[in-house]
Amino acid sequence: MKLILACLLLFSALTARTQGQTPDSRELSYHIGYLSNNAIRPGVNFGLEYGLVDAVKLKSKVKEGRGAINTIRVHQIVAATNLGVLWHPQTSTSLLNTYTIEYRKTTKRRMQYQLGIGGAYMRNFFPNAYVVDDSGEVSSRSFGSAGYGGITQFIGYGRYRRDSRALQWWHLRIAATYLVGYNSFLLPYLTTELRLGFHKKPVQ
Amino acid sequence: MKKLLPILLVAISMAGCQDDTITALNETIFVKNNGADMPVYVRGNGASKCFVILVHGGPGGNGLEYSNGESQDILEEKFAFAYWDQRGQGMAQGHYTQSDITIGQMANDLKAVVLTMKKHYGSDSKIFVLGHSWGGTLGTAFMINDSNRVLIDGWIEADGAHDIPKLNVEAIKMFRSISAEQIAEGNNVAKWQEISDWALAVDTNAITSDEGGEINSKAYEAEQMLLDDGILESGDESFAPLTGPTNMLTSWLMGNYTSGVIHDEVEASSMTDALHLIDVPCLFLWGKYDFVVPPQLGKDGFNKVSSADKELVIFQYSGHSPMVNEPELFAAEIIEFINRNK
Repeated sequence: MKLILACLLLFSALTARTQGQTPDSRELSYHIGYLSNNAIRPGVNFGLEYGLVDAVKLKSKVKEGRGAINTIRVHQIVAATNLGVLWHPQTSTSLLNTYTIEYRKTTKRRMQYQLGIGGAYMRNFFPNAYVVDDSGEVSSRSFGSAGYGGITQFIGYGRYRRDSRALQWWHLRIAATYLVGYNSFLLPYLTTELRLGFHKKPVQ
Repeated sequence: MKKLLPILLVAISMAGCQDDTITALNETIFVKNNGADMPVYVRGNGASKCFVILVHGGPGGNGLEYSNGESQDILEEKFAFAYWDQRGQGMAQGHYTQSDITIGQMANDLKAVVLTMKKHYGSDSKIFVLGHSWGGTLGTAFMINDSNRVLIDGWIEADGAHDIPKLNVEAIKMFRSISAEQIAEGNNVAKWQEISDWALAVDTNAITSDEGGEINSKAYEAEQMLLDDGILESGDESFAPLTGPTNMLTSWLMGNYTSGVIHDEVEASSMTDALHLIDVPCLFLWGKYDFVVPPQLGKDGFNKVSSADKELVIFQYSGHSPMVNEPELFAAEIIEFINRNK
């Protein structure tokens, strides 16, 4: 009975400890960041994410003179939506909207590794657009544009910031979005991204 | 105050410089035609009301590849240049099918670009078309159409490939003759001998598509040897900055794809017999040592067009790109031609 009580006490202590050390699932958080296409076209990014599933692995080691050392690894499935704007003064402005499912692993040092896949839609807007019809008639279009659907995939790396009241995490990502029907081709559109994630509500 | 004065003077002088460049165009127009959205980057002297539409090489190149370099610096001071990214190349995009990637459709795209330039800059604008290499194929396809030709004020073909089967035969003849010359002069003997042996083995009555590709790669190899030996002017080849509007990865991927789709049609395209239809002022500019598109094609062009005003210039120290090898002379010829016909 004493052993069971001791185990329960240890477990509750570890659980209390992990709440400050791991990313909170079932919490809506938002992120903003810098987005660029091949580091040439700069842009900004905004999005929301929500943890769907998480699995926390706890390890406790007792070292002489140092007491118990608890290490925590977290595996998560995160759903996210994102809207990016990419711009270049001499060519089109692009809106890139993605919906992704992501696997995210947080290590004992709170580094986060991630990979994911999802759907994407990109719409490009052109300045000074003209349309020429079959008869050769030319008409001006104030908002010429073209849109492409596709699949996006990404890998990323970052860090979870324990107990942070503002910046919850930062991530660096490389994504390839395969745009379907771009010039009758499947164009891989590469983006790099720095995301800064924030709690919807500051940690109490 | 004494320290601020020089800064103020510099600022005022810079503002003064800006006044001089008010007429310098630097804008992008998008032309939508049959599913393709094609950027046209217009740079240079808009006040001249003379616009040169640059039809780039490839297939698989992009318009802005031609915008950097000494010849363009000179030319853009005099006229405005429209660097057009063709369907499926450069930063052109849109929705269409593979069956829309044809020489005929691209010639129709060029017509759409000409019409848009007239709409955007005024119907009194003078329009010239300059096609280089594959741009010569496309430009010729545009020019042999009666309804297209009347829209422009002059046609400039620079090392243009208006007849690929003939180009292959002439290139083999050139490999044989120039390699003999170079071996006799003791230049790069082993390499020229290798090219000579290869060229002698090609049956010019039945050049295959694969041999056509080999001719193209040997042509650049031969040109590089002439450049290394100082027979060609090294010129000033500068590249578009990575921060420019052309995303090199997208451009490269799209260019290769489009080039692959259109390859068979390009390899079979022969328009020498239709050149007589061209009756607008023409300027043919060729490098003497162009193995990619031999000067014989320029001579054919000059001899066969019906134009009253026509001129052929062979640059003695140039290969496939005289705008790089002899930029000042190249620019001077174009300036003279446009001034004569604007």
